[in-house]
Amino acid sequence: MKDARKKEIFELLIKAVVEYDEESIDELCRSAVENQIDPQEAIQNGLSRGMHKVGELYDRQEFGIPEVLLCADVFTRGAEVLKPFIQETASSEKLKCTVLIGTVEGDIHSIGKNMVKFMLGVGGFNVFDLGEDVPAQHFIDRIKQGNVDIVALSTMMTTTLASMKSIIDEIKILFPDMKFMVGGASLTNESAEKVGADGYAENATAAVKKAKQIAGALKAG
Amino acid sequence: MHYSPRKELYTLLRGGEIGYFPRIIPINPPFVDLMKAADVFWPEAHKNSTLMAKLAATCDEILNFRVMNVPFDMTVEAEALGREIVYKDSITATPQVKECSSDDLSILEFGNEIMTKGRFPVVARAIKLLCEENKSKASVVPFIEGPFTLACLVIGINAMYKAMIKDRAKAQYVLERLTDLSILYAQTLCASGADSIIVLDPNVMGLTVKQFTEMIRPVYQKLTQTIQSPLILHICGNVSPLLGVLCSTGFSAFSFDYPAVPIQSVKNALDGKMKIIGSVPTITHLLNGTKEDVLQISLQLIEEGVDILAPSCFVAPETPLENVKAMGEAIDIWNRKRG
Repeated sequence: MKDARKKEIFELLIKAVVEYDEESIDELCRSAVENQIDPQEAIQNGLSRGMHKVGELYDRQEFGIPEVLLCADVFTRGAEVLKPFIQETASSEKLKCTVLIGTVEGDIHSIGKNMVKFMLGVGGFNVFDLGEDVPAQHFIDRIKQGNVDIVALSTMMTTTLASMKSIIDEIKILFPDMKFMVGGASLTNESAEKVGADGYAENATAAVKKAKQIAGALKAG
Repeated sequence: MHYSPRKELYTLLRGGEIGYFPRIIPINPPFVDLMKAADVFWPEAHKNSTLMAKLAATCDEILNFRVMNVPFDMTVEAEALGREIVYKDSITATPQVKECSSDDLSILEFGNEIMTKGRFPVVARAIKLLCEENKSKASVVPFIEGPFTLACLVIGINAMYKAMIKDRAKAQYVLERLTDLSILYAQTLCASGADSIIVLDPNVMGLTVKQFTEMIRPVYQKLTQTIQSPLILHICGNVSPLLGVLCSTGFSAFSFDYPAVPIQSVKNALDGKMKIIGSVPTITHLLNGTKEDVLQISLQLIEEGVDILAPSCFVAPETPLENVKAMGEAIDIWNRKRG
């Protein structure tokens, strides 16, 4: 297919995500498939680029959380349409790295955690979500089932920071080599280090970068 | 001349000056060391007026902060409206509203009798007890939820954020009804003896200036115009873009989150129209720092122009007593230096 047409469809997908246009996203994704665009390419060069743009608009304070949530809905809807057409191949860009994510015990906030989960998925990670108010034992039970490379913990509240530390401590007793990423409104780089995390990210975009760094180091190691 | 502690706070919140830095430190829900000192613990103190009052009084009795805050969590209003609350049997756990998403707005059809529901009477009675027993030594300053954060708790956080764009009529209805609830609640607390009220509305941090101006400012104005007592607004996180609009909300003071918001930008934006409260970082300094760290940042904040010193957010339950006390010591050092 002509590169120009392909580019045009990518631009339309980006626009639909940024303008949280849920009316036209299904049709646009179907037209990508009909035009023989690789669905993974449509996700990466269309929908995901749209979400990156959304992240930039949020960073510039032109978008608030309401816009981000609506854009994320359109992204998810588009990805659902494209998913059945994806063929798993050796060249698949999945990182083969699994992140186990959850909001720590005592805290039920989900928005930040869900944004990170979502962006990690976009970034090529397998993500397993344990939900909110998750005690250490639930993380440990899931890690025992195997294939967990990184544990990502979220807390929004200052009052549950100690819970985050004790979850990390408990997991480390059984899995001393496990890697941890943390994030949430109450954290900083410094406090993340204090709770024993290997990485801290201020927002969902930064979380993907940090996860890739950790995944890269794991691969190299 | 020195004012009484209650007069100090009242004078400042009404826009006056007192000529020295007040030894008033608001935004202090109790932490574990205070629970031990009072031999009163969570979760019992969340539900029992006598225990709630006894624990709140420690902020004045032990810390000499001259402000007593109740309740110790953010679920009182949602609970009274019928939302499910998760109480954990732990001295460090605050009750939380079970996350929900509901299109059923019948929950918002309430009358004045709502004030008899849930823990509204518990908080009101705790305030009465504090006023009776403290004989005006310290101010009683309860926390209530701001309308937007309460809306997120009541109809679901995702649903409320999205409604701000997709269904503004619904968002507006929810905000107006919950503002009516906040007014009823605030009036009840003031009638029980509260000197001032801190309105906690952290979730507005995620809104754009346009959304805040069009949808939130009007309900803030209704709140501040209806309640006679001075109101303090607290928003955590980086609210720099919203600072310019805060001046026209009618709040007497703004409690900000440092270093997420630089003090100079708060000063510039508020331009003396609201008092500035804040903002000793709760995690890096109060929880994880040393006493010296807290002294240093407190003196720096006073030097840079806060009107009232306070933690930047709710202190973590595990925070060391010495670190919290150091905020008061910093004020004493400052006032001694200034004679």
